[in-house]
Amino acid sequence: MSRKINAAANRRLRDEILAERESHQIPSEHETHLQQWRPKDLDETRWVEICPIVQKALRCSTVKSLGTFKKLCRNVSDFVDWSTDRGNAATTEALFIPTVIDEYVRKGMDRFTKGSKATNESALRRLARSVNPDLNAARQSTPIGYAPIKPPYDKADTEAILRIAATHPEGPTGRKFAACVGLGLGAGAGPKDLRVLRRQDIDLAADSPTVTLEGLEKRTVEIRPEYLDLVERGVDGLKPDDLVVATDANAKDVVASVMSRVKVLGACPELSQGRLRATWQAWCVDQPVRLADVMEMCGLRSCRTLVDLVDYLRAAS
Amino acid sequence: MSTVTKQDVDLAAHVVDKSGVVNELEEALRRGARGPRGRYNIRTFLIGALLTIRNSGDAHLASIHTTLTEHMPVDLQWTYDVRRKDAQGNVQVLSVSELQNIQKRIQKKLGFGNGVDCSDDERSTRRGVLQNVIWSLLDATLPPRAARSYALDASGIWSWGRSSKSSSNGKGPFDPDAANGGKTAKNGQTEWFYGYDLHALVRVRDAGKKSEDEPILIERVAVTPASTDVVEPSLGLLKSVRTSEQDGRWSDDIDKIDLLVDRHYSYKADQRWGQSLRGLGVRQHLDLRKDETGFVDYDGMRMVGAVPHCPKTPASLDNLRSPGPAAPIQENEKFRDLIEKRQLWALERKEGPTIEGEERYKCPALKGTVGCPLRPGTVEVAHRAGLDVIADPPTESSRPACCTQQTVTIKPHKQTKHVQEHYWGSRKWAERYNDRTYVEGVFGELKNRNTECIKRGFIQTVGIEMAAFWYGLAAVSFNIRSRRRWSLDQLAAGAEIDTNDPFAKPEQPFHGLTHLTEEQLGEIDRRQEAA
Repeated sequence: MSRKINAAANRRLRDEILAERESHQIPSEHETHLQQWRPKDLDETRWVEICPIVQKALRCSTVKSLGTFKKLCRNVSDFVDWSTDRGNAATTEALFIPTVIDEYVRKGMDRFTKGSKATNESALRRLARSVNPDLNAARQSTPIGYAPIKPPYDKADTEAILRIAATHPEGPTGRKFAACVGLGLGAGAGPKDLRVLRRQDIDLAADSPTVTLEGLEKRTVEIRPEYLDLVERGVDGLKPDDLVVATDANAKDVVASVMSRVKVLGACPELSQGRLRATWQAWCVDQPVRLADVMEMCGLRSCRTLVDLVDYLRAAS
Repeated sequence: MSTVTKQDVDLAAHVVDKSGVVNELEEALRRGARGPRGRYNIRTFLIGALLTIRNSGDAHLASIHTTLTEHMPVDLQWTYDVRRKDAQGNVQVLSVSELQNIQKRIQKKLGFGNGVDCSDDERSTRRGVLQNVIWSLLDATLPPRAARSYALDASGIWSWGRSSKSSSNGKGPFDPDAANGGKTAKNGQTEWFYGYDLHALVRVRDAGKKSEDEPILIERVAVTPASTDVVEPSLGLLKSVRTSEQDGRWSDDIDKIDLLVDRHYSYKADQRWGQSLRGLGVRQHLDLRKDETGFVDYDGMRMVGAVPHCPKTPASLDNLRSPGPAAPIQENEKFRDLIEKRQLWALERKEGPTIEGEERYKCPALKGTVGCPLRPGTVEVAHRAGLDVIADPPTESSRPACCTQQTVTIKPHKQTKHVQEHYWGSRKWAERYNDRTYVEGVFGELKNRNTECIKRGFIQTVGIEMAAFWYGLAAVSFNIRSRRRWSLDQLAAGAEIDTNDPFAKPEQPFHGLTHLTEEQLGEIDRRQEAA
């Protein structure tokens, strides 16, 4: 099932973004400096020509420090002078775009040292993203849609779920729920992984018990020792070829149907395999392991998910 | 041959009486404008026909006679005029010739086939009378409904007759009204036949409703020679239901009617089919053919299934073909996912279609499903919501109107015939379109040898008026059976149903039959005479 897109929410978000852009203003001391700013190395006639473009662009700046803003004024004046001199249209829409900045960086920044060249380029590109957010944002991104990661469980929620799994009445639901929680928190198994997982994919006899998951990218992951009990309970009585959670190989919403049947008394955090997996991923990010190895263990092709995860971790701390 | 119980007879009689067709037929079969009405026992004829079609799976007059005189209980034979007293006070039993006279009279007075010598106006009137008789009988079997969805299809039925006078193929007399046509055989191949097409408009559930909410019933039927263009007869069925004033039928307070049709109908030119449907307030749901699934350029946009897409829709989403109903679930799911991914690139319909097929559409970036640098703010939204982003929007010189205007008008074009409510191939579309299978199920039941069994030999007479009359009665028989079964299922499930409804009366226990001697029969006759 493809991910649901909430177009109405997206339209509302766009309205907010546009309103925010409309109401943007630079601090008053920046405005005062901007009014008085004259580049020393430009003659008056040339400055009169490019002044409106420079001021319009700088009024989009989000720089907070006045010192940085002053440097940006010099930087932008030089950029606008250089690029309009080479036949580009004298509008912010035509100048503050990646191709023009690329050309300026390649040919127009010879007089800067390597360090200041990089700093000025970075500042210019940041300003360009504020002046022409859409044209620059398109360049900045990879045109691939992705599903945002769910927030990991905090310590209290994790303990609550472990308690529920440990005390759940016996039977198929209790066994499957133990497998979901044990493999989710212990090996980062997601719903797609569990849909096709068979008993033979879990090796509990080895010194370091592992599980081979292949719902996402195929990978073998060591199961965290603190969740081994749950995993053992989750595969209890299964034959090698038996599916661990699913009832048949074509079943859909396998994990959701288990979660919906879990018997809970009293308060309980939302039961989500995605969040169990995210909790394990958050643990992974905290380990002294190379990024490439973390991505491989998580079955990820890009590190976008991990970047999003860091936001959650930062918010939690 | 199953036994005819009192309940069966009462139910058939209820339908015939409620429809009011006995008077209509008596009027139509009068010998002349000034002459007396002939003594045609039309009510008994119709009751016998409905019972026989249900029980014997044919509509032969001999079978009807047997049903009425042998399978019907003797006391009911008195009630329904199968047995009666003549002027001399002797007991008279309905004869086969009486039934034959009625059929002959129908052929003579209401025949509208090629062999009938009459004007076109008269032909049209006669066709109308016969159609009304069948439709009134169908109406008598239909409960009121709030739902507004129908499935429409046609199925071929072999004629009893031969295709030419000199033909040695097949048996039976020459049928001047039937025609050669193609039909889908059991193995999926096209099979050629000589006969008629039975067009049926079948009630189906509305989107999101349960299948047990209402019975699957035939609302309207029409019979045409095989290979006749489906547009005229189909529109005739729809118009008749649209203009009906009876309860539970389409009326002006129902704005749009949903009609599920197969690819044969989606092939018809929009000026003839689509525009007529929109004029009637009918919203069709249809499938695309395999050669209609690729993008076609329309003023810089990419058009498929009559829906314009962003000029920058990825080429990987072009030409998505349905794996078909027999494909594994995973393949179907993969196809639906791709379709729904492409739907994000589709423009959003804001207005229309008008009757002519004109529509207004809005860019997908403004809709909120992709990010485009040409639409301020949408790229940032796409980043936050994880949507696709157009990295290289059309340059200023090549930008189509959909990239620069808020909305764009799509004038009628070749694909307008595919305009439908849901995006073709999407899960919503599939959920809606899959209910078309009910009309196939109805034809399957009508042709099943354990039910109505309408196939070659169901009637052993020729002419389109006979085909229209008897296939129509088979449809009425189907409705009686289907509605009764549904009502009993509802009762068994504990649903609240009006038990005064003759279709919902619980089955009475049946204790078997006894062989009557001459004396016992005489005794019953005397008792009935006295009563």
